[in-house]
Amino acid sequence: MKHFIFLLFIVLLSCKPAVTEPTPQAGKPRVAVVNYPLAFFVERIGGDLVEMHFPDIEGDPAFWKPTAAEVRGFQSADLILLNGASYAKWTAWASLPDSRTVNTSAAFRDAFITVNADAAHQHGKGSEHSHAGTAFTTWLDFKQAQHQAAAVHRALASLLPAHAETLANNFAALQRDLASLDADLRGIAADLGEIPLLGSHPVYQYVARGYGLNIRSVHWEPDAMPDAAGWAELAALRKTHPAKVMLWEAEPNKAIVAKLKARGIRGVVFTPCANGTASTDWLVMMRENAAALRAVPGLE
Amino acid sequence: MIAGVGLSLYLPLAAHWAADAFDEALGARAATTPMIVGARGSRFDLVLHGLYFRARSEGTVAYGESTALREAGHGRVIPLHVQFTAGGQPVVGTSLDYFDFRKLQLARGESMALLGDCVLGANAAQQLKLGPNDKLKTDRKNLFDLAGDYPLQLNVSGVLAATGTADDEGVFVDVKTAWIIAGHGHGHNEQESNATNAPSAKLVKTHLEITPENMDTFHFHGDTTALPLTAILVEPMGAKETAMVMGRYQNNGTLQALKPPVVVDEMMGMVMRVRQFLDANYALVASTMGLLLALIVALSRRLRAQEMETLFLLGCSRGTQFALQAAELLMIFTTAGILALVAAWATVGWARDYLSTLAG
Amino acid sequence: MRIAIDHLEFEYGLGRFRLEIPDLQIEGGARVAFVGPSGSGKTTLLRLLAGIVTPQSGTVTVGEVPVNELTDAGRRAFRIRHIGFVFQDFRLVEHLDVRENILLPYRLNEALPVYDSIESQVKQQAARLDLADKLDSPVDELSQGEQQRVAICRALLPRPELLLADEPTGNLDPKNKTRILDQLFQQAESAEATLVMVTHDHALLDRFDRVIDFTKFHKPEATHQ
Repeated sequence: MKHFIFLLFIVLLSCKPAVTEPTPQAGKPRVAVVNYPLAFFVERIGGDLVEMHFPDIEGDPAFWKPTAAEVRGFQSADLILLNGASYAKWTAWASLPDSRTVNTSAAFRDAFITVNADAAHQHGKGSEHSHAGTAFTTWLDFKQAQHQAAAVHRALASLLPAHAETLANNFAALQRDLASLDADLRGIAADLGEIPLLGSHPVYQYVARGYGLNIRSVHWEPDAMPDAAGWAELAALRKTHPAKVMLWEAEPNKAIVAKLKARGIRGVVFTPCANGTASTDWLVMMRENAAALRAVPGLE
Repeated sequence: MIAGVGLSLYLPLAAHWAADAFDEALGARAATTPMIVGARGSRFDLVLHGLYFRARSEGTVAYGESTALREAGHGRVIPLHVQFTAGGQPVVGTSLDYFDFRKLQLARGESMALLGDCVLGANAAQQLKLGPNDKLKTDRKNLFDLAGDYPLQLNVSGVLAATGTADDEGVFVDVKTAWIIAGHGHGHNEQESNATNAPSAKLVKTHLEITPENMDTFHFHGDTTALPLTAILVEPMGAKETAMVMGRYQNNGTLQALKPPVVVDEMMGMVMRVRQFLDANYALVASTMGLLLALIVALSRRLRAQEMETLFLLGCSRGTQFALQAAELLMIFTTAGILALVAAWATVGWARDYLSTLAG
Repeated sequence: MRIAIDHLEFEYGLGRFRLEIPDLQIEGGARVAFVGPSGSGKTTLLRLLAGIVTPQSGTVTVGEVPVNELTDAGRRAFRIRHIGFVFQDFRLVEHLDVRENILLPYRLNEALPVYDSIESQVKQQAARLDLADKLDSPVDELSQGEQQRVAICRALLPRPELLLADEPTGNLDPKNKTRILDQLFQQAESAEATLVMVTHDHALLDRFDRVIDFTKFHKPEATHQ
């Protein structure tokens, strides 16, 4: 009998309630981000001091449609970092705690670029969407990226005051890298001058403005052959904007490359890198973007 | 006599205790609400609106104001939009921070996550007999406005644990959902997208519904910073921040910042003055009752004189007779007192419940 | 119980009523009737004998006890123990049943002696007056005759040595009048008690050993001094 009671006691102690939300590792605050650039900044600044929450999203996180459970995954974070500029569309119809949410682009919201109405389109298997409204790839202007990184740093410092010095050092290192990127791209842009460039997708507004690049965009996907109207749009655009280089978010398929080549247009990959995995390095990707642009004059 | 004495004791007791209960409950609620910002107008109205979700028709404050306050870093800022009802219960548009601010816990289900989700206060859930995953339609503002806004069907995601406050009456939604109800935004659902102009094809719509399929089509007209709130709750970090927020609105012609504890004190001061008048009234009633009681006792003694004489003749001492009558009076007063205490205690319980129903 | 009154003078109402009894002796066990016009002092003498009131002068001796010389408490104690009262209007407590009315003296005075058990005494006394089956009945359900019998039971239960009856048949019909009087006499005899009765019914007077006319004692126009 005593033995049974002892066993019962042990069994009762080991019963735990079902965990419906992810729990942070012991003592680490949980930081949720809406895109990969912010995840990178958090990783660089916070490192192992925080537990990152960036869901596994297919396609551009800007158009992610989370379920209620996935939204609650964000709600339970100690800090939620938004890109701002209407990036994460889902935040318009989800409930997030304001006191734990930081808009990393609030400091330069007056400088957002408004995009005119455009046709709705679809990215592969993703849902139909539009880029009309506010341009949201703010991090592609590395000066703005520095502001966003600063906002991330401030938020993390507030969350981890005991680690202020570590965070400051990490932030300084990141800022140096971003400043270097910015200087690099300014030099490249200066070389490019007024050379007209095409954007395969309307995601290059800030890099164009920030560095004086002459970019006009169509709405093409790397893995989807444009229809006749799409080629016609390109032709019409080139009448006033005779670009010979098209920037792509990802490597376009060979058929598109061939057709473009036939029209005297070469493609280079300049990825916004809005999404990423553990093996992605945003800084490396941006440097590759810069290298791609640097190669443009040779392609002319 | 027991009823008469009981009533004489009950009235001032119940009035005092109820007033004390009101004072305590109002004071407690106000104490947990350090500041409230809203459109200029009646201070009492604004405070009661913020504390008890009482309807207020004196203007709104732009959502951008709450964003500005939050970014100024003075403390926690919580938007409030209380304009509609659902099943007769107030629909409280707010943010998730409200639940933490008021230390509200979920008894069942989960927090609101998506547009159209709502969390019910304990009493609201009981009244409406709803629980997680049930549906609830907002009430139509104007029954005769057939071409106007449609009720919005809400999805109950959770039910709060009872708190004994106005929060028990609320139907809590995200402020964005409240804006949808108010018609500041809309979505595009299948019915609308498939509708044609042919009268026969027009679909009769009874309510708006936000579904996983149409959720991402919902958007707001214009800049959300201009969308209205009915009040903003502010929890400043300290005295300095409190002063800064007060100073921000000191010379503002359209907005005001109030400290609910101060306003409630002022309100209760007025109530206490009324109570003093009522106390004088009760003293009069008690005096009248006392005189009536004396008359009844005197008449009773006269009526029972022969009985007392008989008892005396049978050997009962005058002292014992006096003790018997005194004991009778004592029993009357004791019974009346106990009944008055019980009734007053019940009244205070009712008063506390009634206070929470000031919501709406 | 023998009664002796010596030079008794009693007045109240600032001299409006005055009773003077120079000498009155009543033998123990006697059946005595007090007669006289209303207001002549018959009931007053009963109250003087019971120690309810005291004379301004003179002595009232009941048994061997000068009642008027006792303290208030002493007179009450004496009355409880030695005197039984029967009233014209029965003076029963309406909200008590027959048993409790009979027991009332014992409820009021723990000093009353208990012979056998109280319950047994009540039953015996009630049986003597044909009330054995009415003990649990409310008194207001009894007839007048039965009510007066309850009053007699109550008066006799402590076995008093002096039984004072103030017009006990005054409110009864002729049939009950006779019956009550028979029972009163019978019980008084059985208890060996002296019976003093105030009565206006001259038809009953031949049943008494002695009739005292209070006309000679009452001084209705006593001057105030």
